[in-house]
Amino acid sequence: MTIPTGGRFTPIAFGVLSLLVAFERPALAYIDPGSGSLSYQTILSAILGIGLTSRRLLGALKRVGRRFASPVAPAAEEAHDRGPVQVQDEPPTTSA
Amino acid sequence: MLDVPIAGSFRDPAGLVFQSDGVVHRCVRPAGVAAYQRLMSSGLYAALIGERLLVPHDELGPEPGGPQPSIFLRPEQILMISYPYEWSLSQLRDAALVTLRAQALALRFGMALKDASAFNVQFMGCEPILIDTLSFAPYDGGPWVAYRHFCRHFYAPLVLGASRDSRLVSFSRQFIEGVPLGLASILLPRFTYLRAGPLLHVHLHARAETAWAQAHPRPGAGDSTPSARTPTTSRLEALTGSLERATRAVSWSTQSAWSGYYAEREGYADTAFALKQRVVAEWLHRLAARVVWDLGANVGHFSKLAAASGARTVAIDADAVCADLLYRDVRKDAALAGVLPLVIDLTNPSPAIGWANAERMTLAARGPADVILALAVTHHLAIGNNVPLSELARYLASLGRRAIVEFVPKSDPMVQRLLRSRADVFDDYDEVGFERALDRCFVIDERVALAPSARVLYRLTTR
Repeated sequence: MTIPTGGRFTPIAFGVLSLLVAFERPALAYIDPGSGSLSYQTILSAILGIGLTSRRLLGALKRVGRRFASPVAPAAEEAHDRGPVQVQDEPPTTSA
Repeated sequence: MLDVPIAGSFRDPAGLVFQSDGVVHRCVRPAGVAAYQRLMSSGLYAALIGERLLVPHDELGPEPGGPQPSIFLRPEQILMISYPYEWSLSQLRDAALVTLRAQALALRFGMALKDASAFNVQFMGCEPILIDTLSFAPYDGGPWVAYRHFCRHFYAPLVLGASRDSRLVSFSRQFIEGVPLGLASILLPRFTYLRAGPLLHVHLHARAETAWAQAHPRPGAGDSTPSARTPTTSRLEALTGSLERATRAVSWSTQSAWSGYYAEREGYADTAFALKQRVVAEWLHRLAARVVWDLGANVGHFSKLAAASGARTVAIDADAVCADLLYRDVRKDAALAGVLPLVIDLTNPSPAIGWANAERMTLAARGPADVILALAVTHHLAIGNNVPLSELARYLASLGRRAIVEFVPKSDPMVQRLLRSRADVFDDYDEVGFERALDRCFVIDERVALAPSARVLYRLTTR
C-alpha cells in the first residue's frame, strides 16, 4: 500500500496545514515535540475533534428525543446511554 | 544527610530526584513551583491519587531562604525500579493506559502531561503508576506536546511487539527517547496500514514527521497564563480517546517455547517436584525475606510461593510470553499483587544505559535482593551459555544476600537435552565442582537432595 507524501500530497495538505497552524498557539515544551509531529497532530486532532463533537451532539439530541417520547424514568435511560463498563484486565481481541 | 542525585532526572528543569539516606526525594525547583501548586490546588492531584494513577507524596516544605524557594517531596517508595524494555506487552499496554487516563483527567482540570515517557511509569507491586509528579503543566491551548513522546515510548513498541514478535519490546532499549516512528513504520507488517491505530499514530505520523518537519512555527514565547478549558481541550480529548482505543485494540499471541514448561515437565518425577516446593516454601518462610528475585521464573510458580511468604517478588525470565502470562495472572489475584514479572535475559542482563551510561541502572545495581531464587536455571547458564561455575556463583552472590539454588546434574533429562547436539566440554560440572564454586562466594547453610531425581537444593548465605 502506498501512502501519498512529498510532491503529490504537499500542495493541498500544506494549504490546509498552513490555515490550521496560523490559528494554533505556539507549543512550549522542554522535550522536542517534533515540528512535523505537531503539524500532523494539529490536523489529526481537528478531525478527531469534529468526530467527538458530532458524537456528543448526537448523543444529546437522542437523549432529548427520548425524554420527549417517554417522560418516565429518564435516569434509567441515561444509565443505558453510558453503555457497558470497560473491563481493563483482558485486552479486546479486535483491532482498531 | 547525604544527597545523591538520580542520574536519570536531569532532563526536566522543573525538578530533580535525589536519594537521601537511601530514600528517594523529589525537589521542585523554582521553575516548576507554579505548575506543582496548580496540580495540588486544582484538585487534579486528589483525583489522580483517587484513581491510583500517580504516586502519592508527602510535602516536606520549602527550602529555607531565597526569594523563590524549592519544594521538597517524599514520594511513596518504589521497591524495584524497572524499565520499559524489561516489561511484557501487557505491562506496556497497562502503563500506556495509565498515562492516557492521567492525560484525560488532567485536561478536565485545565492541565496536560508535558511529557509521556515510559520511564515515568513504575510498578507499585504489579500495578503501573506514574511517578513523575512534575509531568503535569497548565494547559493553555495548542497541541499536546507529548503526543510524539507517547507514540514513540508506548504505542510504537506495543504495536511492534504485538504484530511482529513480543521480544521486540526489548528493542526499545536501543532508544532512550522511544522508538523512532519512521523505523517502527518500516518494521511493522503491511496489514497494520489497514488498522486505524497503527495507520494514524505510526505510519501517517512518521510520514508527516519527515514531510512537514519545517511546517510548524518554531516553539517560541507564548501566553503562559493558565486558563480553565480552552476551545482546543475537546480536540485533545478526542486525540487521547483515539490513542486509548488504539491501545486497547492491540492484541497478541500468548504461546512460546517456554509457556508450557510446567505443564509438560519432563525433568523429574512429581514426588521430587513436590519435595522441592515444600523445601523452598519452608526456607522462604524461615528467611522472612522482604524482597525476593526469582531468576528464570518461567510462569512464576515459585514466585507465587515467595509472594505467599510475604515477600515482594521480582519474577525474572527471558521469555516475554511467560512474563506476560504471569503478569495477567497476578493482576487478577490480589494475593499475588507483590509479584512483578520482568523480561530479562540472564545471559545478557540489562546494562546501564543513557547519558554517560548512568541514566538507567544495571540489574545488579538495583539489588541486592534479600533472597535470590535460582531454581532449574543454573544448567541453562553453565551449559547452555558456557558460563564457568565460579563466575555463575560470583554473579549470583552479587545479586542477593542469600540464595536458594538448585543444581541440575548431567544425568538429568533436561541437561541431556542441552547436551544432545553439542560436545560435553563441562568437566567440572558435577556436584563437587558446583559446591567448590559456591564455596568461594557463599556459605552453604543447608543442602537437600531432591530424591528420586539427582537434583540438589542449596540454601546459601553470601560471604
